[in-house]
Formats: sequence, structure tokens, C-alpha cells
Amino acid sequence: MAAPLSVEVEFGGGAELLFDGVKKHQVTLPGQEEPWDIRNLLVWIKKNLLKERPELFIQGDSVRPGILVLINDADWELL
Amino acid sequence: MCSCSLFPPCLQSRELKCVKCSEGLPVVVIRAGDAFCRDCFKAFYVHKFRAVLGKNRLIFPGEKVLLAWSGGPSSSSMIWQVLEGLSRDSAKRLRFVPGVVYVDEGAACGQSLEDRAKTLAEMKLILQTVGFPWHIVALEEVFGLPPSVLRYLDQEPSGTKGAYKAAVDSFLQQQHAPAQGEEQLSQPGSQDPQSPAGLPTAAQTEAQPPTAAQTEAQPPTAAQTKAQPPTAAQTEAQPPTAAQTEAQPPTAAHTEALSRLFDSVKTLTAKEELLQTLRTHLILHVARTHGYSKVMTGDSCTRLAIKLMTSLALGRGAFLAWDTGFSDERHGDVVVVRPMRDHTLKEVAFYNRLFAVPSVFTPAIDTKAPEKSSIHRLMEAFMLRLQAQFPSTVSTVYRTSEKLVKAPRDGNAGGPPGPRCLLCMCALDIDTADSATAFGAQTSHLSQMQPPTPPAEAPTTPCCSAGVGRAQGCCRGAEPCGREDPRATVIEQLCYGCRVNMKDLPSLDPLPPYILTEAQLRSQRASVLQEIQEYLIDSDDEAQTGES
Repeated sequence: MAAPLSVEVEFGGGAELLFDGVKKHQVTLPGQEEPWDIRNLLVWIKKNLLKERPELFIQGDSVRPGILVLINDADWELL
Repeated sequence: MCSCSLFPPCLQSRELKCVKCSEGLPVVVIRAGDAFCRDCFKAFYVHKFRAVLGKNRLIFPGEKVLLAWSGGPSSSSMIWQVLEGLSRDSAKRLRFVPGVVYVDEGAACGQSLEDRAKTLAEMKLILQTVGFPWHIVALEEVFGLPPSVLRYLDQEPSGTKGAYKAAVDSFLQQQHAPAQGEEQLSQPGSQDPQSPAGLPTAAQTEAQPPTAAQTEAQPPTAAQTKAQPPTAAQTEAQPPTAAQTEAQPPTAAHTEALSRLFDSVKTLTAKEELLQTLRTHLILHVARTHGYSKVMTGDSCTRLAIKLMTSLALGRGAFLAWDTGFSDERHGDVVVVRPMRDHTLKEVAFYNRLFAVPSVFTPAIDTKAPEKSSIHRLMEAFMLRLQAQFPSTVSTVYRTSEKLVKAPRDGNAGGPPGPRCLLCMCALDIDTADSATAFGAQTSHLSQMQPPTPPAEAPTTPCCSAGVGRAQGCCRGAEPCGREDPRATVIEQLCYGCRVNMKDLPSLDPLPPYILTEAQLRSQRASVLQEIQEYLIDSDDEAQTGES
């Protein structure tokens, strides 16, 4: 059982257009059964933050090719 | 790519070290799996920029270079690199004299005046931070371009490798002499007193004399005071009037005309190509007007790879070397250079993020467009998707583009005698005998073509009006003047790729006048040439075909 998690999500480089032009979002992820991971986070973002054109942001399970993801200013490919 | 990201993070990340220094904590993965730490990444990035410039020894010390800035990450990164490169105080610092140009394309993208004004304000903030002389031009200014923009102008021969070394040596010697550079600051530093597009047309009040503007414009960096140009061409003072003509905000009529032009284009592909063409012409004009001999664009490796594939799809395969190579000399006197072509978009994005490079995002003509809306979008999606699975895709395409060679036409090394495309200014390969190619078939078809319908846009001016030394009695003959159809006149002077684009433009009327004027001029010149061909004394180098 994961406790609620407070995360800052920031969009840039044009991605913010899909989120009403808002670049920084301070969000609190609700507590849930399984621990939070990036895949769940993306699903949550799609459901709660994304305002339009989901196909331009998410593709399947992951982000659309070309979109870079940084976690604490480090490449997510390092994980 | 480990997108499942187990929680707690997998132990692998704890043990991963920078591949270069083997001690730092890695922050970014470059290429297929090299993890770099922050400092090594910065060194790697900066080194690549300097290496690209140093390897192709095209930029001479003291040369005026125009940096084409779109506000986007790649060009912003390029400007930042130039800024940092100029401010180093060592023998290794960059030595040219930069200026920045920004083209406001809001009208073509359908942006409102308020949005454009807001964007311009953000741009100006950054331009003031950077401190180079800047020029902001609205795309509407294409309606005021002279036809000479479409002509190839001969460049002073830049010489061989020896000339480069000699130029560097003499430049270094001059640096030791006391700098008379202070007065240099006052002329190329034309801080254009730009009024944002939204202001009413009381633009005259904004036109401050350039010297007054100087005091706020130039933080006189050590590099610039010492920028003694070795060639005489550099010392010509910029006419202040040239700077002030850019201060006018675009008139509503021009904005309307530009919107009409882009609305009349049927496909997004053609729109993007047209936008690119007009932007290139405009930047070229700015460069020529203010004495810049080089233009640097921020095309990254990724963008160039996409551009290569897109150009192939658009029928521009013959000009790939110019479209995607490091240097592009198709205009003659102004050479377009691409110093960012070694950097992938990922590297650029990470660098900008990690080292706080300011950039402004402006929606472009294809923002939020669906994937299949244009060839450019399709190719971009294809390349990026492939890259996600095979991380060496972009670099492979890039390496292929490096191998493309610019073949001189018929042994002429870049000389102007060959005909050039009206819009993209690449050398046309007209060989009317070769009807096997699609281009050859089109060319021969056009020359026999009768205008299909009496042109609705009947030429209001008689065909010989522009009076290029044409004899008055030219049309007295019974045969109709074949140049009546303006559309055919323009089309036959285009390369294959540009012709394909023009198909999506149902009428050529909304095009800016300089294009139509130049087309008319060239065709008249060609037909006059054809008429007097038999009277010309034929020397071997002057044998020209009848078409332009």
C-alpha cells in the first residue's frame, strides 16, 4: 500500500500546449495498492492532467517517440 | 529503455558511472548507451560545436556571421555556444562577428496580433541578454523584397587552406596592435529599434538614431572590441536607413496578403515548403543588406536526418548535399552554415535544460498537426519511432548525408552560367535530350505547351512591359508571344521539387511580387537570347541553352 506521493511534473518544449499552456504542475498522487511507477504515472497524467490530443503525448504504454523524460534532471534511460 | 522503472530503482543505476571520467554520476545517455555525467556532457557538447567549426575552415576571423534564430531549442543552443565561445579569453576563442535575426512568422501560422506581440517581447528579452546586434523581421516583409534576392551573386574567392591560415595569423597579429575597435561597435551593432507588431503605425517615433541605441545594446565584450576585420569589405559603415526600415511594423495589408497566400495553399506539405523558401529569402536579404557573408542555422542532426528523407520524398534528391550539408553556397555571396549538425535533438534538449539556455516556444505551422497531415510530419514520426527502437538510426542517416558530394556541373566549379531554380536557387539540370527522367519529360512538355485555358488572370500588362532592352516591334510578328501565361513562365523556371510544390498552389497571384517579377525578367531575357542567338559570336564557354 503506497502512501500518497507529492510530485512536481513539468512540461516544456511545446508539450505544455496539451496541458492548457501550464508548464509546472504540483500534484499529489493518491495512495493506491501497488507502488507508483512511471507507467502508472503516465496513465494518471493522461487521465487527470492531459487536456487534449492524447495521441500526441502517449503512445501505448509509454510516451510518444521524440518526447524526452527526465526524472530529477536525469535521463530516464538511466533507470 | 527501461520504461517500467521498478520502485525502488533498480540497483543498476547506482553502479552506473560516466563512461568518460568513470567517477561522475551520469545524467544523460547519448547514442546507444553511453552515460555521461554533467561535466563530461558539457565538455562533449561544446567540443563538438567547436570541432564542426574548426574542421570546415569556412568562417574567417572577423567575418560577419548572421545567426538565424527561431526561438527554438537548437538555434537557442547555437547562439549560446557562440556567446560562450566568443567570451573565452584564450587563443581558442571564436573569432567572428555575430548578429542575430529572428523572423516573426505569426501571420503564416494564424496567430493573433496580441500573441505575436507577446512572443516578440519575450524574444527581445533574450536578445538583450545575449547582446549581439539583432534584427527582427516579420515574414510580411517578403512583399517588399527586391527580385535581386533570387539571383546568384558571385562571392569573392575565399581561397585555399593557406588563405585561412594566413587570415588567422594576420588576425592574431592585429590583436596585439592597440585596438581601434571602439568605432567598430557603432556600425555593425545596429540595434534595430524594433516596435512590436501590435503598436500603431507611429513607427517614426520609434526610429531612434542607431548611436543612441548603442549605449544600451552592446555590452562591449573584449572579443568585440578586438574584432578587427582583416578584409576591406568589413569596414563599410552600415547605412542607418537600412536599420530603420526594419522598424516598421507590418502593415495590415501585408499581413492579410500573407494569410491569403498561405490559406490558398492546399496541402500542409506545400505550406511548409513555401514557408521555408520565403524565410530563406528573407534571411538572405537581411544578410546581404547588412553585410553578413555567412548565415548560421541551428539545424540539428535529428532535424537534418528528417530533412534528408523528406527531401527525397519531395523530389529534391538532386540537391541533398546542399540541403543537408554543412555549407550551402547556392546563393553565392552568402553561405549558409549548419554548425549544430552533429548534435542530436536529445543532446540539445538536455543541454538546454541542464545549463539553463533560454528559449521560447512558438507554435509553428505544423504544431499539433496529425501525423499524416504532411510529408514532413510523416517522415518525422517515422524517423523518431525508428530511433526509439534502433538508437543508431539518426546517426546512420546523418553519416550518409556526410558522404554526399556536390558534383560540379559540367566541370564548372560553382560558376553561375548554369540556370538556377527560381525559388530554391539550386542549379537546374536541364538536359532536354534526356526525356527519360520525370524532370526531362516535364521540361519538354512545357516548352511545347499551349496555355490550356485563356488565363483567367490575363496579364494586365503587355508581355513586353518590363522592357529589358527588348525591341519595340517584338510582337508585331503573327506568332503569339508564348510568354502570356504567367503560371507557365514561373513553372518552367523551377526545379522538379519546387514544381511539385507549386501544384498545390492553384493560383500564383498571391505570391509576393518579387517572385513573379524575377520570373518575368528571366523569361524575357531567355526569349530575347533565343532570338538573337544566331547573331551571337559563339565561343565555347558561352554556349547557353535557350531556356533560363
